[in-house]
Amino acid sequence: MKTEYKKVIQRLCYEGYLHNTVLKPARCQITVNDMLIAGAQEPRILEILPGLLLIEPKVIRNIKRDLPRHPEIQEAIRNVEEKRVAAEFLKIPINDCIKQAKILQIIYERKKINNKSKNLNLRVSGEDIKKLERLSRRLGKTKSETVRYLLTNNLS
Amino acid sequence: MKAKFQSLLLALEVWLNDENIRRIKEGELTLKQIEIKLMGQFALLIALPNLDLNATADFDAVIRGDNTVVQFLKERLLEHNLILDSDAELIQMPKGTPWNLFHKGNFLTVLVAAPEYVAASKCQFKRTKDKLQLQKLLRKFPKWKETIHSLSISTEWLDEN
Repeated sequence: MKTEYKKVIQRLCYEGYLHNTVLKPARCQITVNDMLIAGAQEPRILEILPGLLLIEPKVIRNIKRDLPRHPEIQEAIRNVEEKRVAAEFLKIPINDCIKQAKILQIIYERKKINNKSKNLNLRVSGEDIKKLERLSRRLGKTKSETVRYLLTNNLS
Repeated sequence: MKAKFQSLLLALEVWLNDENIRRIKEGELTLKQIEIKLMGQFALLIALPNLDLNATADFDAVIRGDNTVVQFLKERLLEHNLILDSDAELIQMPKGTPWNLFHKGNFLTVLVAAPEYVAASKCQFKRTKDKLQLQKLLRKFPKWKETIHSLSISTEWLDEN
């Protein structure tokens, strides 16, 4: 399994835009190049790419640097925006990209509502705090991220 | 994914039960059994949970049941980043597709199209996005080719460059 494929799938699953049977969602850092390499193996990634760049571009790193090098992607974005259904993007019908862009928009809107974080004060023991700090260090996450990770993966 | 879907169905069963109790108390018509038929990419993910397969967020299913239930299901699916695909009715499953029972509860019956027939239906459309996956599946399950050919569906396009 190619590294690019693995990290793109994990990130897109983490963002909720893709579902995979075996790979765990993770907040991997991905670039446009990673998306193209992974897209050659899984064309569904290419279906998602133009919509992702329109709706939540911050998922992909260094876009300002990389996007000018890919006129085909810029054209696909324009075609999705202008709904030119007859066009194609790397053999993927733009109509499929338009459909995915609509779906991404719905999921993104829902994420925005859910992701508005709130403060929560909890009464816990010093030992609990030490455990949380140890676990956070082990996972390489902040304490808030560790609590969210535990809620998502272990308890809910 | 399979486990997530199972927990979603259990939540749906609980909601349907509560909703029916409320309806009985208030003298309203009760909700009837609903049937969900899963097809397309999602059926493959459910049927083959150990293979590396991907699906976009569109949930291909045909649902027969009360609109209230369908609406509730749509909301629950969205919580799991899934969107009920309004085009699912257009997916042409081959005649004689076996539907495997995935869940049978008090209110819900969920049937999943047999994976080799999902592959056959994908072969009909010859879409670029399915090509690599179909090649992989037919390498893994060579007997599926016989089923696909028995439905008069060609797999030759998968061998073309």
